Parts: sequence; C-alpha cells; structure tokens
Amino acid sequence: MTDIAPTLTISRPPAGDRAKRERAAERRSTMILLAPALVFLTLMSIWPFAYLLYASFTSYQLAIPIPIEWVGFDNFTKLMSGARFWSSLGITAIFALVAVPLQILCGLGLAMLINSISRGREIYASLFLIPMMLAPIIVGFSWNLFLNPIYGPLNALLRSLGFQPPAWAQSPDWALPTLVAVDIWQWTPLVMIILLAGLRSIPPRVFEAAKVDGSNRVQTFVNIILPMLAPYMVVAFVLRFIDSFKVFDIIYILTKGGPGTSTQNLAYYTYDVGFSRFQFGSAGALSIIQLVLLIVGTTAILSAVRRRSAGNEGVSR
Amino acid sequence: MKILKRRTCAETYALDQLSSIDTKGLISRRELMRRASLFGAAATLGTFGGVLGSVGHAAGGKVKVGLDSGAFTPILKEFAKEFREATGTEVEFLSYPLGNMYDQNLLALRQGEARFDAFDFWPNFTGDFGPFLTPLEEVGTLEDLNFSDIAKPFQLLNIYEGKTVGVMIDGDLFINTFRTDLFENADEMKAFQAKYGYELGAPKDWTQYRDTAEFFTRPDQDLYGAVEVTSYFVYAFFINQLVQAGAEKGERYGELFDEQMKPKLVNDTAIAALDRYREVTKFMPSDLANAMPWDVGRQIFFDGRVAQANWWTDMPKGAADPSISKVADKIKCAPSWGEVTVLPYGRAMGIAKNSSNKEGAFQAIAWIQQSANANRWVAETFSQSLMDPWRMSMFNEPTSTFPLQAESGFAENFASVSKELLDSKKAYLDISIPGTNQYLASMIQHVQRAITGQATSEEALKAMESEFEETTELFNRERQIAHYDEYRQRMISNGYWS
Repeated sequence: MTDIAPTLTISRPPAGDRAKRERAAERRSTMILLAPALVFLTLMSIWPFAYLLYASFTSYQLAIPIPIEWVGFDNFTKLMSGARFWSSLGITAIFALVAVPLQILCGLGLAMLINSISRGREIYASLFLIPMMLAPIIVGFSWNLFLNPIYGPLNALLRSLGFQPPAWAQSPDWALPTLVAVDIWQWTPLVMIILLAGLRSIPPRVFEAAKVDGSNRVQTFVNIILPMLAPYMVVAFVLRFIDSFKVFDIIYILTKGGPGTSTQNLAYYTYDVGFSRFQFGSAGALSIIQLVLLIVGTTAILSAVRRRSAGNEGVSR
Repeated sequence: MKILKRRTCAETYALDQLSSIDTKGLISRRELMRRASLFGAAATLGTFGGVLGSVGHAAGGKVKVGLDSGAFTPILKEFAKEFREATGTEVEFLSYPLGNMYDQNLLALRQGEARFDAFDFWPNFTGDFGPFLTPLEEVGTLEDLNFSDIAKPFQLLNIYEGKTVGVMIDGDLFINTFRTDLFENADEMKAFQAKYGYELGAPKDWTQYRDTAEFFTRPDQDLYGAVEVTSYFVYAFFINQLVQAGAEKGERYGELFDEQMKPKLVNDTAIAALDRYREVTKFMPSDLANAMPWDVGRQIFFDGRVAQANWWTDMPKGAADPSISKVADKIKCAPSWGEVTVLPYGRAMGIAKNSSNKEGAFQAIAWIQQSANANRWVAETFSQSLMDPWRMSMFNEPTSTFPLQAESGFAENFASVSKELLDSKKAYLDISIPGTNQYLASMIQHVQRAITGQATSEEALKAMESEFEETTELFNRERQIAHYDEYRQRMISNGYWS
C-alpha cells in the first residue's frame, strides 16, 4: 500500500553562498534558455500587436505621403457608422451561427456513423479527414474549378440532367450559401474527430446499463450520448466559432467578397481596407473590433456552459 | 516515517546527480544548458540576420525591373540577355501577379530601398504612385524614349503634377470585334432589316449596339449578342457607358467631379449609363452575366458563343489566332460603338523615386521603347492578352508587328481601326488622380451590386458618391481639387472636352 504512494518532489535548498550562486546561475540559465523564444515572441507577436493597437488610433495610411496623426477613436466610430461594417458583421455572424452549428450537426452524425462501424473504423475516419488536411487555399482553388459555371463538373452534370444550374460563386443568391457549404465540407471532419473521441470515451457499460433498463435508441441518444458528449461539443463549437471569424481564403478565391459586397465578412473587409486600400489605421481598428467580439463571444459561450454545468450539478446533488 | 526518510535520501541523491552529471568526458548539465541557450540565441539572430542580409544582397548594382507576371516571361529572358550585350548593364526582371499590381508596387515604393528600379503599372495609378515616381525628364529626355511616335492619347496618360512619370508599354483601347458569318449573312441581314428597320452592321451607337445584341441573343442556339466583363474589370465597361451617354448629351463625358470635387454620379446620365449596362447583361449567357470574368468572356467569344464583343484589343487579337479560337476566320474589327475612344487600363513603365539606379532604369525603359524591341514585345505576345500596340509606327506597318494574322488581312483591318480610334477627336483619358485605386474599388463594388440586382442604379450611384466623398476627404479635398483640375485642363487643352 505504502509502496505505491505518490512521490513528492522536495527540493532541499543548498546552504550558504554556494546555494545563492547556484540559484543565481540557475536563474541566468533559465533566462538565457527562454531568451530566444521571448525575443521571437516579442518580435513576432507582442510588438506587432502593440503596433496594431497603436495604429488603430492613428491616421496611418500608406497610400498618402502624410504624417501619421493620433485620431483617438475616429477610426472605430467611422467604421461602425458605415453600412459595410454591419453587412460584414452580418456575414461573419452567418458563418459563426449557421455554418458552425451545421458543422456540429453533420460532425455528430458522421461520428456516430463511424463509431457504429466495427471493422475499418480508422480507415473511414481517415478518409473523412482529408478535407481538413488540405490548405484552405487549395480547397478554394479546387472548389473554384468544381463550381466553374462553364467547365466545372458540377454544372456539367446538372445540365446533363436537364437543370439550369446557377453560377454558384457569382450569383448574389448562391454565393454565400456556396461559401457556407464549402466551409462545412472542410471543417465538419474536425468536429467529427472531436466527437468521435468523445463517443469512444463513453464506457460501454453505460450503454449496457441503459439497454438493461429498457432504453430505446432515441432515449439512449437524448439521455446518455448527448449529455456525455456536451463538453466535447462545447470544445468543437468554441474552436469553430473562433475559426469562423477567420474565414478568408475561400472567400478570396471563390468570390473576392462579391458580387458587390454580398460575401464580404469582417476578415475580408479588414483585408480590403488594409491591403487593397492601405488604410492601416482603419484596418487595425477592424482587427481590434474582431478581437473584442471574439473574446466577448467565447467568454459568453463558456460562461453559459459553466452556469449550465453548475446548475446540473446542483440538480444532481 | 521510515519510507519518507528513505525517499528524501533518494531525492537528494537524484538532485545531486542532476546538478553535476558525471559525463565521463562529455559536458555538464549546466554547460549543456549554456550551449543550448547560445545555440538558440544564435539561431534567432541568424534567422533575422539572414533576412536582413538577403535584403542587403538584393540591393545590388543591376537594374531591377518589376512586371506583372504573364506569358511574356520568355521574351523577357531574351531581353535581359540582349540588353546586357547592348549596354553592358545587367537587368533582372522580377514579377508579381497582375491582381497584386497596386499593392506590390505601393509597398515597393514606400520602403527605404527600392525593390524595383523600374516597374509597370496601370496608367490609372499614376496619381497614386506619382509622389513616389521620378519624372522621366529628370533622368533622360523624351526623345530617348522615341516619345513622339507614341499615339497621342497614350502620350497624355501618366502625367503627375504636370510631369511625365511613365511611358506606355501596352496600349489598350475598346474596339468592336464582330462575327462576319453572322453580321454579313444575307438571311440575318434581311431578318434584322425587317425587325429593326435599318441595315445590320457593326453598331455605331447605343441603340444599334442594343439592337444587334438583342437580335443575336438566341439561348436555344447557345448564341448571345454581347459579352462584357461584370466582375473585377466591371469598372471599364461602366465608364464606357458613362462616357458614351455623356457624349450623346453633349456634356463633358466622363467628368466624375465638379470644381469642388463633389461627385457627379447621381444624375440622369449616370443612371442611364448604369441602366444600359444592366440591360446589356440580358444579352449575355445568363449563368455568367452577373459576374463575367475577363478570361471567361474571351473564351466564350473564342468558342463561337457570342456574336460581337465591345472589348479591349486583346479580344480580336486572340480571336484571330486559330490555335486558340474557333472563329479565327470569321471576325472583323470595327470602332467600338459611341463617339468617344475609351482607353481603360493598358500598362506604363516608370522609375521609382527610391531607386539607386535611375539611369540604369531609364536605359532599360528606353531600350524596350526602341522600335525593333517594342515591335517584338507586341508581336511575340500577340495572341495572348498582353502587350497591345501603342506606337503609331506599329500601326503603320502592321504586317511586321502582327505577323500571326498578316496573311488573312486581319492585321491591316485591326491596325486601321485602331488608328482611327486613336485619331478620334473625342477620347477619354482615364481617371488617374491620387486615390484612384479607392475610387475604382467603390465603383466596382457598387456597379456589381446594381448589376446583380442588390441595388437599383440610383441606390448604387448614391452609395458610390458617398464613398467617393470619403476618399476625397481622406486624400485632402484641396489637393484633390488641384489634381482633378489639372486633369480637366489636360482634357480641355487637347480638345477632348470643351
């Protein structure tokens, strides 16, 4: 019994000057070891972010050779009073609140389907993962060819069946649903793999006990699978929610934010302001707004889940 | 207690061991850590040092010429070799994607050391790049560039604050390409006469363009009456409509701003222009009409699905090439409909202000402008979109400039129509004041909204006006007034506007 007790690490401080010297040397070594990573982090993340924050409060704009001036919250107020900001926010919300739930739904279905397969489960799971393994830019180009209104195979097939297919990525009615569908196609496998891990973690005895109690498939799904998968679904939702704000590649390749501005989300709008118009001050402000929205959104989701979990625990007690 | 004591002893032993590993001739843990940290620091410094080093290395003595990438890469390799033999100067041609022309060039111009000594740009961006360009006459003379041989409207582009900052290397203009098997078919002519009451021919005005486009729109035969770009280059086609509609009314066609830089877009002329543009899309393949890309537009004409194309000069050039076109022996050129010659886009070449080798850059540009080289530039890229003729000598001897289509007589036809358009008393010099990139971006987005039915013509133009105002304020209204007035005076002094 005592032999398997966890071992505690108790460091014994060396005595006297030697101990001090050793501690100082240890600290120095630690700092030297951390220095490359810290320098890299400072140059590549902290400094750019600080500069972005600064730029968002200035008139910084590359296309005009004028001095950079401090403008306070002007960039923020101007952006938020424009129709394009709100329409871009709307498109972003569609990705976050339509595409992501659909991915959860499809991912859950696929996870359950694969979990029910007894032989070759890993092979099927790997096949479903292929879209997720592709770079989004490749996905964009592939879909661009696939959906091409003239020589794309999809429209050729539909025409051969007697339909009059639309120009998917070019039509104002179809462009956004097309992008959402492509996003779902690419990222459902991520949700699937998370939920599959969740399903595999449910002990078989739980299902056996449910069966003994006379629970049918729907009851098992609603009362056992869903509650036990809930933490995994939250993880998948939060990950995809954050990613949904970053959808850019497929929009850039398939629609360039058009027709008009009908598929321009916040990420594309930021790119347009920053790298087509070179208004770095405004682009910085847009980035900060997105960051705030993401933090608020993610915190709200996690708080809601935490409250619900606490409530459930209270009920069970 | 006994166990705890035993464990403490074991830990002490382990710590002692860790503090000073007996490496038996290797190194101590601390030494290992120190070396690892030194290696990490060296790797970090090496990475940044390497980046900085490569930047320094890139700034060598040769002439660096930036061009949007395309099928002219083979000829550029030849040019580099011949240029070195002729001048003793090394030239390196660097490329960037066509779609990144504005951002790549602006970034290159704003950095301390020039990425390109000379580079190509759309004449529209003359005002945007003007502050960062070197007036050509500060480095050489216009005679060195054989400037007087350049067609007059092309001479008048690329001017910033009264100084020439670029010279054309690609001359685009709108021209009509029509199918002779349709337009010169006796039965079609008879049917057209019966339906519209006048003779079928290449359209000369809006009514004729509209009628001929409608007449040849036969979806059941997979034939359409017109093709125009409705995606990114939508701007050029809207401007064409705006200019022609203004000319019909005797106005200063295509004048986008008044004397105070207030946009002149929400008016009958502009609304009619946008309405007409929307109407043209009805005579295009319905699945493509909302967002017709440039390359697809060309392809469907080459495939024989379109009766006529009021398009850039790359359309007839490509359509006449039997290796890529099914209608090569069935086309002719005619002046584009309307009174005014419209010259959207094209390419110019200028010298970066931050270049450390301006003389070399000028030498490279002057070398390209030499007649023999310029002719090869056009001839060898003829059937693709690329370099269109911009020098009068190219039109005077078309068989040497356009060898591919010389035998069929097409070269003569193309050259004579182009000359007629360039000699026109009415030509529209495209907008090229500072901020043009942003004015165009607004125009593209809102014209697309109107075409795709997301807004009415008036709503789209109102939104465009509002964004034009924002851009004007951003670029400083007073300065914009001065720039647009300089443009206005150029149009007036050359007899294009009264």
